[in-house]
Amino acid sequence: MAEHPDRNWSLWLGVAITLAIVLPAALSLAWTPYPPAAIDIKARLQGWSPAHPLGTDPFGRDVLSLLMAGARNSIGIALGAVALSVGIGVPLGALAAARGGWLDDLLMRGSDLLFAFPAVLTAIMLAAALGPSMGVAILAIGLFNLPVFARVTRSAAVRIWPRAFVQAARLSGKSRTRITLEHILPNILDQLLVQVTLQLALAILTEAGLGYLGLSVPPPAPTLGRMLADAQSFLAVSPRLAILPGLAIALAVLGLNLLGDGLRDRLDPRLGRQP
Amino acid sequence: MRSLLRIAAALLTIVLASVLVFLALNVLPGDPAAVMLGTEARPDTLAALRRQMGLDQPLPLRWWQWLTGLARGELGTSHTYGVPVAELVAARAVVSLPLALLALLIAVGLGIPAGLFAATRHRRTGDLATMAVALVGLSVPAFWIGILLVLLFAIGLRWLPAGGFPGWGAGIAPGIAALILPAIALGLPQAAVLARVTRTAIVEIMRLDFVRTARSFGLTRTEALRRHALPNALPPIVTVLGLQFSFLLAGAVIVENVFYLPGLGRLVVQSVGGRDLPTLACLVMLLVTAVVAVNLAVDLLLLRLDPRLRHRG
Amino acid sequence: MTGLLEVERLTVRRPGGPPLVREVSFQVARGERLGIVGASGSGKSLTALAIAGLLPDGLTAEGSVRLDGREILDLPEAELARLRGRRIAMVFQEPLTALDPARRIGRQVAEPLAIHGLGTSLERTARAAALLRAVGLPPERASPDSFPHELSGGQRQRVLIAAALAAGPDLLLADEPTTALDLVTQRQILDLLDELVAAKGLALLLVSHDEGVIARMCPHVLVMAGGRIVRAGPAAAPSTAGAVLPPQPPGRADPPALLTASGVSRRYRLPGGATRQAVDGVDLTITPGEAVGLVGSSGSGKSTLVRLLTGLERPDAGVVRLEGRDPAEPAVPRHPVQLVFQDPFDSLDPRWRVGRILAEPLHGLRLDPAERHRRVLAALAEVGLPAEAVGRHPHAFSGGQRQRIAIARALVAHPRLVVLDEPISALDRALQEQVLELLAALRTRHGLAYLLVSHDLDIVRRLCSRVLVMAEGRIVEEGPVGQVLLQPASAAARALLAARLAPPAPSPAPPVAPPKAWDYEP
Repeated sequence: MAEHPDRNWSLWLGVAITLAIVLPAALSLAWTPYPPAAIDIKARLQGWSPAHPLGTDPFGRDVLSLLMAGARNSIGIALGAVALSVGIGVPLGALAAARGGWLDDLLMRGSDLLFAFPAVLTAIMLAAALGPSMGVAILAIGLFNLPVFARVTRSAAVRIWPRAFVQAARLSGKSRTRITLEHILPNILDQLLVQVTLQLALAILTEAGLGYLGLSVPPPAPTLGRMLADAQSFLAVSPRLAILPGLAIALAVLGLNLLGDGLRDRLDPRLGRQP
Repeated sequence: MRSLLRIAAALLTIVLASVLVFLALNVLPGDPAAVMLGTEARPDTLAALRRQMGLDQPLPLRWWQWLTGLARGELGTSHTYGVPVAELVAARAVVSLPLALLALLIAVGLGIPAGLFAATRHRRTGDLATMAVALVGLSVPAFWIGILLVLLFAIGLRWLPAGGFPGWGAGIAPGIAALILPAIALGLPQAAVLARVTRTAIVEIMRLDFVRTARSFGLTRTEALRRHALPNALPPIVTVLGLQFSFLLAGAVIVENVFYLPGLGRLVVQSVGGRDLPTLACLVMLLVTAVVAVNLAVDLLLLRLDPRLRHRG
Repeated sequence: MTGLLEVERLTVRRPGGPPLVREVSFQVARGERLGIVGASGSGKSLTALAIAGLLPDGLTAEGSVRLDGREILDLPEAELARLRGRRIAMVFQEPLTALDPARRIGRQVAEPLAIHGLGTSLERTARAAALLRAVGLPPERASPDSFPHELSGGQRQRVLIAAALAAGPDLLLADEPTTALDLVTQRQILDLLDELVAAKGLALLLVSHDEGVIARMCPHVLVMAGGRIVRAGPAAAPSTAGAVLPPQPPGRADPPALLTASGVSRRYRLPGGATRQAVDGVDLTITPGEAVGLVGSSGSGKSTLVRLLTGLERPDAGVVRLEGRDPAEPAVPRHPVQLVFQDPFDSLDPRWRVGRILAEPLHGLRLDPAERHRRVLAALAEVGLPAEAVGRHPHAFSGGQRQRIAIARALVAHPRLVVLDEPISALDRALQEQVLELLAALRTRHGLAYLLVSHDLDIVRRLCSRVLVMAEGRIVEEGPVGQVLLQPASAAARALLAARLAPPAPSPAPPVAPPKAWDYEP
């Protein structure tokens, strides 16, 4: 008795849009129409043409190639940041749920502390101290997302622990770590997956902001955010340069958000639990 | 009792945050005295400068002096601008605070009514359309909205300035005119978040038994929404509003740069550019304190809004 | 005869879907009482909700519902709302969630008055206080200024009843009003409803899955199944007679104890710093092969005691010994004791296949895979499930089958003691019977000791020879089941007995006067 069978369009539209951005970005690892950094002053600020389908920028670089490579950098940083926050946040949250008591309090206070540092601020601090780099961007975004995963994991796990099947596992003499791996994590995987897609979307947004401020990967590597910052000086001459990278960011984020919403609807506990 | 604990936890968070900020901006970059003198400096000159700057003292002591200085309002002097940081902050805050308030006004004024509208049209066209718009709004970077707004209203239609700030001395109207586009850019994504949260909260509550009970007493669906669902939806909405503050702040740092507004966010970026680390440290502490304070205020407000929380430990 | 409520060919469906209620017709006259009984999904609750115009979103009703001869099924929401509370009132199942958590109870009781514009604000406050008193909640018990979360389940149901009756309706629709309550509280709430409905001359439509509840309240009953009325007639209490009392194990002089507890206590810290003594100095002994019942109303500490005896939690004071060892010690293999839980939907990991679920208690026994598999199949066969079950997930099974799987899991490690925590209270009556018989047969076959936890003395009587009665964390009475049933010594045992709606066939005269509606409210 699915309550809204028509809701899966959100999932599939999300998959389609995400792939539309991710595939060209992945392709840029092997091939782009032009080398993204190749400057050709004679061909500067061209419009659409067969040679340059999306035109060129003020240095005559091919915009399509820049977009592909820029999206790849943005997505790569977002993936790295989410991997960092999942890799640390999920074990910490699971540990807090399994142990409870002072350890729980300590871990949750710690996540409050990290949560007080907006990613942009951390990135600014670290970039000021160490100079901007891909590592700094990943660290800054990952640290800010870490509490999110710790909290989501903990609150989902805390709801599984009192259930009877977990008590049955405890009666069979299994350790808390083992129960966490065998019973708790598989039962909260759905919720974590939804959170991963939504946090990836947020990470791409944040990375774009850092790129705009010049705090992400340093030049000549292109990022979508810096392309926007560069385009601002040519806004009146060539608005296309400011529209395309923004559109790429928005589509990537929209695709992931749709995907996350679709997953959440599909996995909604209210729909599947009781027969 | 519970409120006092919350306040103590917030203070502790600020103190711990100051440790992180101190380490990041005083230890990570290396010896500031060596940076100032360059690589050719003689060891005794270096030692003298270090003594003069207090760098020869142990780290915990330096941190403590810095923190207590901040608490007393001694923010130091910016070496880029040559003025006390406190003055600098005050001059910039009169731009940033109105911007944040205006953005908040747009977010709440647009987001909550949109969420309520969608909830009353649950699963009908009005709901789907509102939520589609909200999803797009939530997916678009605030600073790109800013750029598009400049493109449309400043370059295309020439209605509003593309950037800069005339100062409040020039009058209220020009000041507001300079802030309106940035505030929209900042407020729209927040409005989208609020609309989604409001709709979800209301829809979930409308499903609960007590709403049916209220209807069995004689309320229509709409009356039950207003009298029972809305008060019970406030805690989740306020919670999200508090959590979003940190995104609002991060967005403001970027949007102020898009519009060349002389606010705190721009000052943060400028002090990175000028490698003015002491000023940056002050600013980061100020913003982190603001995040903690807002979340504390939300916690305390929730205690008042939800009678069930008052008795929990 | 002019009916107050006339329902004709009422059909409820999801647009395009099959009908969930099919052409149901009945009448209720002024002051008359009618019960509707049926299993979950039979359409009984939807019938009641359709009458009040409160169907869940997406469901539509066709046919005719007349109140005093006036058609009300197709009234617009605003006009229907004017009837609700004023003419037709409802009491719902879930007292925990049916009240607005953010409003004081006095205001909620007065709400129907306010909605229908009855009385001034002061009069409404006074009337709410009077109503709360009338349902057994005088201010010293529950102030009108308290919030719902400060009340017990039974007290919240009283608040709900007070609010339903506030605006003086003629018809009360009660949808499973006592299902979420324990038996003692259920009895009190039914007595209260009985009194109030009689005193005010209300018509009552009572919906329940429990024929005993209907028989207690209504002379006539409609039986619904698959959305239709399948039988109509006088209400009769189902019989629970017929003992499967197993033969007693041959009495030995002094059998060594299997499980002992001495001076076991456990207290919990409550929010706000107070503590609650959940278990208070309990001593008990279970010998091998013995079946012991543990009864008590909800909140008496039964569940906590079970957690202490099985080693899931440690006592604050006292010792538990299972075959001479502390079961809470991690190194102790726990397989001598196994648990069967109340809710078969919660006790099996939805992500695991049945084969893996059944093998879990064998963890730590170091069996080779073939032996493991053999044991799993043997346990499945014992509970009457086919071997193919090992490859399926729990959701492929019904509630009764799942409870069999849970019993098989308890047997697989060859325990000496099985703790049964309300093992059949989540099942339908027909399934209850089967599971009881299965449990009785398994015990005889394997010489198992049972500790059966229940609030229902009739079930305990059918499996156990000895019974412990628990109240407020202590064992207040102990003895052979027959003796406790016929001559209960403690107030707690008497309350449990009085709460039974359908006493077994040769019913002894009630040893004490049945309690007043609110005598035992915690």
